[in-house]
Amino acid sequence: MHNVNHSHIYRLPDKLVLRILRYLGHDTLTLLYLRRVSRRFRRIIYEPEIWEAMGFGPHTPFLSSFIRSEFECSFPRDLKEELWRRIQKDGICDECRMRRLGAPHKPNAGWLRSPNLCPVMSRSPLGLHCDGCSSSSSSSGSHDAHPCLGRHGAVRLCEHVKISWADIEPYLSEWWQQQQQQDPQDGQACLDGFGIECRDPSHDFRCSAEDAPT
Amino acid sequence: MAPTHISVKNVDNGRDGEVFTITYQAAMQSGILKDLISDFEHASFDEAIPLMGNISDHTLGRIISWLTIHSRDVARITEQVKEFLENPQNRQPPTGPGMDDDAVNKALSSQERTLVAEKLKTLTPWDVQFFEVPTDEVFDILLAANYLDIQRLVDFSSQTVANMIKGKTTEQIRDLFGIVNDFTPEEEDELRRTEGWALPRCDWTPEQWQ
Repeated sequence: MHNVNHSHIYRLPDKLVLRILRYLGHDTLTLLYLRRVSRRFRRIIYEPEIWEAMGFGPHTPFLSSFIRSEFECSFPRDLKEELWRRIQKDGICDECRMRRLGAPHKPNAGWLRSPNLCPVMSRSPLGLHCDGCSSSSSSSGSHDAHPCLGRHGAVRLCEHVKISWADIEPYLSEWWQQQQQQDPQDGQACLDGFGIECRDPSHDFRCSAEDAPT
Repeated sequence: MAPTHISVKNVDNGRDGEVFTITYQAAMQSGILKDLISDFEHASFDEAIPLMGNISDHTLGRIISWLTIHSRDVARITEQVKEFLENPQNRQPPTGPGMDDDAVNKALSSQERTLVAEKLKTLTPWDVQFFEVPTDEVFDILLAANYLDIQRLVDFSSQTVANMIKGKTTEQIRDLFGIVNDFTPEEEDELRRTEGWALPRCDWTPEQWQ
């Protein structure tokens, strides 16, 4: 219901959505992505009309393999490259996304260990920047030129202390180097070892001599 | 006799909206206005034609400006195409002195029709700027153009929205339109299994899929 009430494109009747999709021309990749946007798009994408408008008959091998999702291997090279670029744009592939979505429930913060990182992300020497955040398609490009979007912003611990990425990055880098020299540690150890805290007296709730119970 | 100017206003929800006036020629681009005008043929055009369709005054004003700008397009573009085709080098297939007049005219008028239709479908820089508004306004215009049966404006708005979607990924499309993922976790799982990117993993390069 949220989409019906809040998303403007849901105000359009199917007929108009189809008309928009017809202007995607031969951008079939976008159709592939659209079918996973929401239930409504999924239903519309499988309307035979859109396929006919794109020049595919209702029973072409292309369409049936599209439905079975087996046709990526038959993509022409330029389409493969484009798909690759977009997967990079989304940051992670399905497999890695599932792994990452599952990560917060795991007690040992497994995402910090390099074997569990998305291969895109682990390509960086420190694993702190990911290709996925860069729109560049070159895998060996400079990471500094495209800092990971996740590096912006800060966490406010309390009214006195704000933890920015600049505080976290050196700690993580150091931890990472230790990891490679010594035995690999649990990811939780990395989190536990991060020791920024606020020592402002206002947080001190210990009993003082004055207000000690009499 | 056809009037020179037409006034329209929105009358939805029992409320009289702002009155907008356009030329007869501009109004004829809308199928609904065309019908209404011929229905009203013997009535006076002093009063504004009432429109339903829940169009806000703001959107109606924008549509009126679009109709005004494009009111002479067909005549203007036909003239341009005729001028272009006066040069025999631009003709497809080329016409030569050996051809008889009938064949030349036939080839010319069919090419002229195609060229005019193509040009009418292309967004002008003015249109591109016209659509540089928040996404919800583009949808307002699309819906109103659909109600008023202005096919060219429906096409232009659809093209604009399609251009926004092109090259985007699932997440980006959701962001663009404020769509929330409404698949249940079970459905998501099923989708991933049956329709996920089966081959390309993100650490693969296009060469590895060959």
